[in-house]
Amino acid sequence: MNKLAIGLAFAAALAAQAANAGYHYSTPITVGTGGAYGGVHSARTSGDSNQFIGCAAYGAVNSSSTYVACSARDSAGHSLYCATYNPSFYVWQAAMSVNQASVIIFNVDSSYNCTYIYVSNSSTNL
Amino acid sequence: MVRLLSVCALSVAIGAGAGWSLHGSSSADTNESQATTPVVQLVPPRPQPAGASGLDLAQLHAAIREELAAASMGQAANKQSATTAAKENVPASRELVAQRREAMQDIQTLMASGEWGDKERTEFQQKFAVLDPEQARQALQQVMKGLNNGSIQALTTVPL
Repeated sequence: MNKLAIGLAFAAALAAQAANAGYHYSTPITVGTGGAYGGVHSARTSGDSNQFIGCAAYGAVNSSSTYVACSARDSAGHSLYCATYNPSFYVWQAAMSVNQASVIIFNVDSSYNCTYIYVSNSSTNL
Repeated sequence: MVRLLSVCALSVAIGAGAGWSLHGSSSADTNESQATTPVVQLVPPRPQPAGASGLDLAQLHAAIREELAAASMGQAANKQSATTAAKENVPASRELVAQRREAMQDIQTLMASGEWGDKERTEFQQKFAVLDPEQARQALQQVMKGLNNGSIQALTTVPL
């Protein structure tokens, strides 16, 4: 009976290891005055309850005004928010490509406009 | 005698003139017939070697297609920008101006509350849709400034 339990535990451990196979790189959230970066999955699975990073896009059928906004907070609680009014199509594309495998980098200017949004989606970020 | 010589000379002159004029008219006829008669070209036209003039047929077609595409894109862009410009140039009605002013005031009130959660975001977006471009830009910057300097506390990770 004991042998069976040990065998099952070993098999479960192997299965768990297999599920996490593949190269992985963690990118915790880093916030500075002019920008922030980090991985969505890294933030979500971090040990603290502070980290997050993400982007949003706004559009409405009754308005010609749109915006893209990004936000991040590091483990120490430092946060940064930016928004760009009526951004170019390419900025939209970048913000909308964010998913759980994303590492996001965004820069802000002195008026907190998002001046740069970079999104990299990769299995290594998961 | 003198009279006889004169008559002979006159006759010679008239004869020479008539002969010359006949010769001229026959030459003109010949030229005319050459012009009206189709000339058969016996030498077959030689095909132009590719690249002899710098462009072959495929390149020419590609160039024409590019020109047409560029022209149609330019027309579409001009049409769109003209429509947008026309929309922006239309003066806002008194009601719309009042509505926008009220929306700006509501956004100021939202910001003054010092907290920004899902409810505030939703309300901000409703007001934001009403604003003119300059007001919208301004409102967006004010909220961003408040969130970053701490005068507005974000209760959600997606404040906008």
